[in-house]
Amino acid sequence: MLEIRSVRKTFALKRGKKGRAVSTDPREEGKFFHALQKVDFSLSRGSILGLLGANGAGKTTLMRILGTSLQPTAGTVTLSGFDSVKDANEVRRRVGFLSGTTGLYSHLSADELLHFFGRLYGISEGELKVRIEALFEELEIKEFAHRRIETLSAGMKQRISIARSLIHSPEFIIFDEPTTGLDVPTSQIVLNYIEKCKDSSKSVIFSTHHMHEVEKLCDQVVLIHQGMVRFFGTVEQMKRKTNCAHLDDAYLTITGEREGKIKQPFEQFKQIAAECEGSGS
Amino acid sequence: MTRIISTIFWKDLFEALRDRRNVMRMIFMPCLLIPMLGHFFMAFSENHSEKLDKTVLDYAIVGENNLPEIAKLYAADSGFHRVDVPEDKLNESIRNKTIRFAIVIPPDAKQNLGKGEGISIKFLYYQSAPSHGIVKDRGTAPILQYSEKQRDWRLAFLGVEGDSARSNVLSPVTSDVDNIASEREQIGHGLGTILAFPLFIICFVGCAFSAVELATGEKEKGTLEIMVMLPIPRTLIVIAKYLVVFTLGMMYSTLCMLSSAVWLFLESRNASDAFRDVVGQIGISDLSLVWLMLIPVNALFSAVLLAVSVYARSYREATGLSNVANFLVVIAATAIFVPGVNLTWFWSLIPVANVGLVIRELIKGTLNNYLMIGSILATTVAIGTAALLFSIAWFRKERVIFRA
Repeated sequence: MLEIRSVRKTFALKRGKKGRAVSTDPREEGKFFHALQKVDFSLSRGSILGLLGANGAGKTTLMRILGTSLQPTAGTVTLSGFDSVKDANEVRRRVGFLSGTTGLYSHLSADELLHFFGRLYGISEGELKVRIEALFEELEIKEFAHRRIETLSAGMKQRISIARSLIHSPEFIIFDEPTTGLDVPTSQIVLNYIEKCKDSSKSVIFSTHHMHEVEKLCDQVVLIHQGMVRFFGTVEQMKRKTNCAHLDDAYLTITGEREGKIKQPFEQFKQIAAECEGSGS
Repeated sequence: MTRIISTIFWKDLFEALRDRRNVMRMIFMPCLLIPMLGHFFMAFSENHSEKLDKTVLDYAIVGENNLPEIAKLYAADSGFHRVDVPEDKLNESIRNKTIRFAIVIPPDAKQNLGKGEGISIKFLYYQSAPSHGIVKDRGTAPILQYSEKQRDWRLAFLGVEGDSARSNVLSPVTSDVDNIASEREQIGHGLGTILAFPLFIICFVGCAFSAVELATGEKEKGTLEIMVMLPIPRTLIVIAKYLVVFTLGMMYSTLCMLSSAVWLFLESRNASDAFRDVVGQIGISDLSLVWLMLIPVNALFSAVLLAVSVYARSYREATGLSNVANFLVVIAATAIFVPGVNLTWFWSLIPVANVGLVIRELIKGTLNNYLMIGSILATTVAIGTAALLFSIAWFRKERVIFRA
């Protein structure tokens, strides 16, 4: 069970930036930026949760807090009863993390990379060999497992990144936009793997901008907007709440962008037309 | 704990040695660049001195008729070529290198000499470098020759004849100067100073490349984020990375030392006998001690550069901060060139300079006070530990890890 209770995250803004453009983000307050504000939700074992939100909404910050690379300013994150700050190492043993910002050691091969991380997780050599074989099989890595990562395509690299985040058989898996920039066959491999996780009682939290992935895979959805949870529930509940047939529309309705996105260009058009009439052209 | 450190250490080292740019740098800089630069510098300076020795020097003479004998001596020397320059244009002509020197013979020179008085012939030349006096030596030789002739004639006139009598009159008291410093000590002083400097620079460069790659590089690539999410203490990650930077720095400096030794050996075959003898006296044990002294230097550079690289948000910032550190190293290393700076207790506490002075003493073969090595190690350990603690502290800070 993953429980996130009243989590806030505040970053100190850089000092001495007098020339910085004035921000319209309501989360900015003096020298501080409140990236997350009172985030609450929970996830039971064997569920898949989709994390939705625009770029800069706070998804990656939240995922980093779940992955323990960031600590919450306030609130708690507990995973299987372990606190993400006090028992960080216990949480790390149970979490697999992959984000768009995480990279790979390009001069190693997939095989060497997985051995390296496996050893650091304290997995015995015998067990490691079995796990690596299984991951190579599942993610179709075998044929390029011994080639240097620097020579591989983006899709191949992403599969290796996923294998890296799963090498220690984590209970909870966090994927930050795992299919971004991937071709259709590779995206399919990744999505199939996420689906399989459910069968093996693993929980997955993944962020994405592709609503069809959410509809296909997720049991629950968390929508974050400007650092706050605007919706937590199932896909169906989200559609019902907004009276929308499509998830995209439901998303835009909740975030208030639907109205703004349509209104704004129309208002601009009206203004230009009025100016043209006024000048007599 | 050891298992974690060794896993990260071997992975990082393995990866660094697989990087073609790293390997090229390691081979090119210490193995080729330093010997090549050394060889060209020596060949150029020798060639330049030789050339200047043989060049026909253009000169001007003013007041030729005041002492025609002097003018004749210059004219008879095939190493000089006379150019006519008015007296008020002498300085300008020397500055723009129309002539290399000029002599101005005073009026009544011949009459004054005839009266047994002394005269002074003005010699004008241009020399900005303090050690470079070939034009002056060659240009004043005829004046000296004429002066000696006059002196001998006057002594003979006074009835002082024969070398012994002449010497007794001219130098009644002489000092029998005997420099008890051996040839090795004399040549080794310069050689040790010259060798220490590039060794420091190579050590620094070797450590800087690896530190930036292992800390800032990983930050930029996003691999550091994965490392901090592993269930291992961050201190161990820093220690492992420190050991890799140190090892790569030692690899660079060892290669540099080996190539310098080979270069010295090859260069000495065409050098003077004295230089060859000195190189012959530097044994394996001396070189081994010099190599051992590179351990504290690398240990210090690794710690400081790792701290800088952990803190920096990008390659660019890391390079900028490393340049500041490099500037400090150059200043400290330059101290060994200052005349009168020797290995004392005070200097043994100044990082980098202390090791440079020990290397010089080792090459000279005069290192007697081994206790000072203890003092050097203590300074290195103190600064290195402080830098390492900074690295560890910064490595624990979110705002440093995610600065990129």
